[in-house]
Amino acid sequence: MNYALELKNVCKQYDGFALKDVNIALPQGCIMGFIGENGAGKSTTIKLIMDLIHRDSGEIKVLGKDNLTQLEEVKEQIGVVMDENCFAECLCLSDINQMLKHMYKNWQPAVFLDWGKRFGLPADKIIKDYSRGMKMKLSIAVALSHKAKLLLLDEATSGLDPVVRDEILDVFQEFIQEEDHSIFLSSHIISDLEKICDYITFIHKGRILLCQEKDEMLENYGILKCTQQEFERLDKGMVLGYRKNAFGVEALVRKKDVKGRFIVDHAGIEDVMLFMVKSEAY
Amino acid sequence: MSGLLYKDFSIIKKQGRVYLILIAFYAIFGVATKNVSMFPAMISVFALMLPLTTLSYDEACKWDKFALTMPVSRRNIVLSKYLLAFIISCITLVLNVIVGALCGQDVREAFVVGASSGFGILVLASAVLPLVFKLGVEKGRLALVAVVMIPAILFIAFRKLNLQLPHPRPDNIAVLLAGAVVIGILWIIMSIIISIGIYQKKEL
Repeated sequence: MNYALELKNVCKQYDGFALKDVNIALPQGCIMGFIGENGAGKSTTIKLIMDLIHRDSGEIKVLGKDNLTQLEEVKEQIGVVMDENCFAECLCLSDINQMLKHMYKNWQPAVFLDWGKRFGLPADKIIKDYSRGMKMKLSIAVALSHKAKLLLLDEATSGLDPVVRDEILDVFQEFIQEEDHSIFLSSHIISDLEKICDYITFIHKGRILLCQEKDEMLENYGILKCTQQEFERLDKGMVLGYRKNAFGVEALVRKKDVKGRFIVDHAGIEDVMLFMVKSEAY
Repeated sequence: MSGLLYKDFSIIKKQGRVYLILIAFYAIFGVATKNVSMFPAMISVFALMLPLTTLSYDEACKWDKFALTMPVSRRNIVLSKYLLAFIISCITLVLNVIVGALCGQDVREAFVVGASSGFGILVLASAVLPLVFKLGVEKGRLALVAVVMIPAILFIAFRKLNLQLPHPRPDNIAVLLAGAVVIGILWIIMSIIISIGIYQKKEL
């Protein structure tokens, strides 16, 4: 399989925070959702991928190229959306169009202006006067206007209202129609990811807890509800996390390992995330 | 690289109006009073400020972090700032010649004044840029003040202490000048190398 993005045992040490043995593999043509709470290491990972910060060890390949030695070769084909606007606030849409014409070989001015229109970005206003949503749309328009094959999106949908978010998710769906297009999308809005992702990677305190196909994950995991006594007797090998409440115990389990007559509810991505992080895990 | 320069000039165009008005003011003032020495001094100050202004804009909007996701290398980001300083000093040379000529100054003399102040701008910018890349613009500005003040203080100290600087004799002035240019160029090259080294290691 060809991978658009491959991270192997990537480590980065900071004072008080560390990314440890990050392994991520995003197959070409897929959308991967990258979830985790604030400060879990999502942005750090994306910065490591673009070598904005230098990794301590491990290996990163972007579109098949090593990101330390050959990144310049593939930068043309990568569109990155940061979690904040990075253009000087005194510039306007046409300034940015002109500037990027000089930056990217494949820059498509007409496509960019089209996206601008479609996103309702005012041509005559400077960026300072844009709303947060508009700034985000501007960044996305930029990422979509130079024939990128891989989009790296850092919290591209957070801070936007549901209507706009939905609109942008549609745009991503459109983008991914091309076979060799891939998206790596970090977010903590799980419903968005549930809607469009093929793969889910879950990071917690700098470690990857899970990197899996979404459907497989939804199929595999379930929430088992039982009483305290029943829980004690359960085979703990299948329990990934549990929490106790007044009525008994809820446990995140691997469905196929469940033996006996238990109620096993569907577990969404959010449940998996919450159980893995907040409950007492095995 | 051209994209980076385009962006810097867009920012200067939008935000540098104040500078343009001041430059125009000093040009008119210089021409009107036939004072040839003030304009080169003032314009040199502006010329030094402009690259720092673009850098502070970059810093404020975290431009570099985004720029590096585009087909732009770290090396080129650094080089573009030196190139910007170079282009600006060329512009100051032209302006100095024009204003000098309007003041009735000999064109060759105006050219020498313009060229030496342009070169001076580059040398000073080369002192400041590595510090800005290392410490950020705010501290870099302080460094700029220091860089400008130190020679001035030394000069005043020499005068106060009645130390006589040896006057260059007419026959070795060309050698001294050539030496200064060579040292200046080496200084600029060294500064570029140091800046690139700093920027390669920088975490954004």
